[in-house]
Amino acid sequence: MKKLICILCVLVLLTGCVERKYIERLGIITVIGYDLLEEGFLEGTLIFFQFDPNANSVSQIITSRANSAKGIRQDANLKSSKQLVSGQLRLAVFGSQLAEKGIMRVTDTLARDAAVSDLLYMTIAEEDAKAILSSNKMEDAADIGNYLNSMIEKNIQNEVLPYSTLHQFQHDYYDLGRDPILPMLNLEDGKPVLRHLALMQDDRMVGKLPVKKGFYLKLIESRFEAGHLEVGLPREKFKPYFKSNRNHEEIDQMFVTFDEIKSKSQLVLNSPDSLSFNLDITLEGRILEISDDLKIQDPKVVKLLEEEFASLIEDEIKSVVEVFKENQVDPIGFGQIYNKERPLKEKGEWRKLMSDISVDTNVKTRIVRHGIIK
Amino acid sequence: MRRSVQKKKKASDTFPCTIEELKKQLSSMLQDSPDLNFSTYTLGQKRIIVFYFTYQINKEQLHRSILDTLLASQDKTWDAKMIQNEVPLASSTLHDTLISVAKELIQGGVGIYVEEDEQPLTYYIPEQARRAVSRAENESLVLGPQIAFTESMVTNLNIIRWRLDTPELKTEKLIIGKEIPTEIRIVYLKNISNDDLVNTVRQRLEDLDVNDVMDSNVVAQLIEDRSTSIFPQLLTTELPDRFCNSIINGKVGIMVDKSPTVLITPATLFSFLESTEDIYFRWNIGTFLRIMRLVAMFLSILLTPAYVAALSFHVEVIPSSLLVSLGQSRANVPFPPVFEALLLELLIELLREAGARLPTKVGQTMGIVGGIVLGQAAVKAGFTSNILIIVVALSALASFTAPSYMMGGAIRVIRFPMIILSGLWGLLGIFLGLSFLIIHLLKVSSLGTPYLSPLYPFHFADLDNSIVRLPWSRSNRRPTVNETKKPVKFSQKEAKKKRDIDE
Repeated sequence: MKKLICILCVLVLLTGCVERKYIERLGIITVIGYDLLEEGFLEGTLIFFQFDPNANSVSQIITSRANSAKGIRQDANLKSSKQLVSGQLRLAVFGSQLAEKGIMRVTDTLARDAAVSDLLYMTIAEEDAKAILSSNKMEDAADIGNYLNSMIEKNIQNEVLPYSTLHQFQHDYYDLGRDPILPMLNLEDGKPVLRHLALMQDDRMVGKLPVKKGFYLKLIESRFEAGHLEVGLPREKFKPYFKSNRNHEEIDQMFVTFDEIKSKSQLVLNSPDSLSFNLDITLEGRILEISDDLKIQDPKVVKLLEEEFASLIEDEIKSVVEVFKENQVDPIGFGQIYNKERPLKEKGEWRKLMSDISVDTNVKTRIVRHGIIK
Repeated sequence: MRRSVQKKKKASDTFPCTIEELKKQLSSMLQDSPDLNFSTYTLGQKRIIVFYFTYQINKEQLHRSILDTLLASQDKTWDAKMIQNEVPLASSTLHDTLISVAKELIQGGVGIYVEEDEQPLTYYIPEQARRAVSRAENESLVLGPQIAFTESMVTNLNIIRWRLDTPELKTEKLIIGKEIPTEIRIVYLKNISNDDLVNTVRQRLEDLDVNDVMDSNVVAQLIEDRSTSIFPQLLTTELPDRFCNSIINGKVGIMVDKSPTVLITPATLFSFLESTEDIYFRWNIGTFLRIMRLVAMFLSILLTPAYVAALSFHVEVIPSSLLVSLGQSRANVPFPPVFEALLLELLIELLREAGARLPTKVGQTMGIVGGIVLGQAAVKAGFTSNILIIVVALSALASFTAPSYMMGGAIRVIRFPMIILSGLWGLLGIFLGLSFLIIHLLKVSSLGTPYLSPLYPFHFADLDNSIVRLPWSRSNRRPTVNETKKPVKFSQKEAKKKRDIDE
């Protein structure tokens, strides 16, 4: 017994302690931006919290330069009284120049660092990451990091943006026959906003897609729980059913807003040889707003609405797939399905085949409710 | 034994003797007590002496039954047998030795000796200082009986017979203590309780080799399985309804004279988190209360260490919405989180201890001064962060929800090593401490019954009445851990039937 106690004491005393990180002595990085400079230098912009009883603002910003992502943190440590840690990193912004060359150089180290959460959001700046993080227009949010983070988080939850965490990025990157897709941040009058989605070939940005078209991307690859969409339908076809004229004759479209959209999709490969896919989508939603005074009680009108809506979606999906084919990117994962039939050997193989695919789309829509209109 | 006493004491051979001789010998045997009262009467041809401790006997009975009878006629010549026949009291004893007379006197007897008779006679008419039965103070309830046990064994037995009026109730008597003997009763239902369990209890008590027994809590510590453990292994209660409910469910009770609390065995960890109020409440509310107490116990042990670990080692685990407020409240504090937490926990413990020691009137003021003024001032002075005050107060509050004061104390003490461990190794330390705790709990037993039952060994049916509470119509089994002779209380089928008057 005595021996055991001795051994236990020795073990306790000799193990020593874990490295202490007292929260008040840390600079806790929440957002980090990476830009590519000439000659392969990286410029990092770090937004971090530091807690001082006398400081006016808890949020600080530091810019530093180095050749590697970890070097940026070391360089930044030379510019701060606090020890900078990345355990609370929530958002990474990559400058467009870096994104065009490939962001894997930086994301790789983020993924390896056990302290960095895999659920951190990844975005691409349409110009410089530094410019976006230096913006001070942030709608009364505590700091720019908080504003950007909640803006992206909210839009992912509202099913507007694709799920773009570090984990998802890594998954898509390493998957055969699939490319990542990331949201893009842009400055409008000095205020960061979301306008486009970045189309990636592996880790390189090759093109843009407007955020609104992202709806169709999501429609194809996964399901909606409570989506939201505004569409313009040809006005001419509904003319016989107008109750009154609301003086919008000059516009040849009738605008309809749908919400509570629930959808299911099924994508199958018809034949591996001809690369033809079959896409079945069933979608139901509620009409929230119509720009014209329509006899909506008439089942014929609803039927017509459903048909027009379905054909519009079919057209849009076609055009989105065209964009993907042009850019040779595959954020939907056509290649994954192909991979099941004919295993791919390397990532580049699918990119060559990608431009030859054809997608046969069938959309079934159902209008569940259209509100109480008398 | 008896023979050796007789040989030693030559006084035993003194009878018959004169009254003066008896007086002298008895006085010297009872340390010349000034309270020993002798009164001598001459009745008929013989002198009779009546002696007693003035405060140990019931004077009313002495006068009305003994003296009235003896002094009714002045010419009768009495002897011991005649007195036994004529005095209207049942508790008479004839003695051969003076020492046994002395013992009876101490416990509240009146001695009568007819001069030159063979044997002195005693009547047992004790009067003990005892308080009236009152409301439960320590285990106070809102619902249900309010009565509590008192220090008097007679009163307590009276209450129990009243509640459990069945001939199957057995109260075995044992005397423990070499110098100062104390009466102990093993209480159980003969037709329900497991014989092995009763035998274990009896044997543990009989094997005790102690000089005296202070209280039932001491008995509990004397007979428990693992005396190194911090956890109480026998349940103490002052509530007769709780005691009787346990006995009906096949547990064994131990009552100790001079103690207002009784013991229930075997006890499991979860029985310390039960209150009779859970039974009086409707089953769903009872279940909620029990689970809440269980959660409270975990919170109380883990909340402060988790705070220390997160703020000293793991910035990663702090929710981002809490990060700023936590960081800002910490920014003013000059100590590391471990010291801060230990300091505040100590403060709360001091408050509790001071509140418990002080008279009730001052105690309340104490709580206000300590809790509000000190807490506020400590934060203002930058001594502690205000979030830690919430955390510590919450965990202190949670520890007080344990209905057993013993278990509450154990939970409060466990917190301190946990805080130190979390200060040394963060979450790793917390899990080290938790693992140690769980291994320990798995090893502890209460008179042979596993302490973590019904979780380990797992008994699905026993979850009722330990962690949850089922409606009465479904709760038809006695706990399997008690291994009772009648495991099923009633048929569930019968209970489900609703008999209306028109059927």
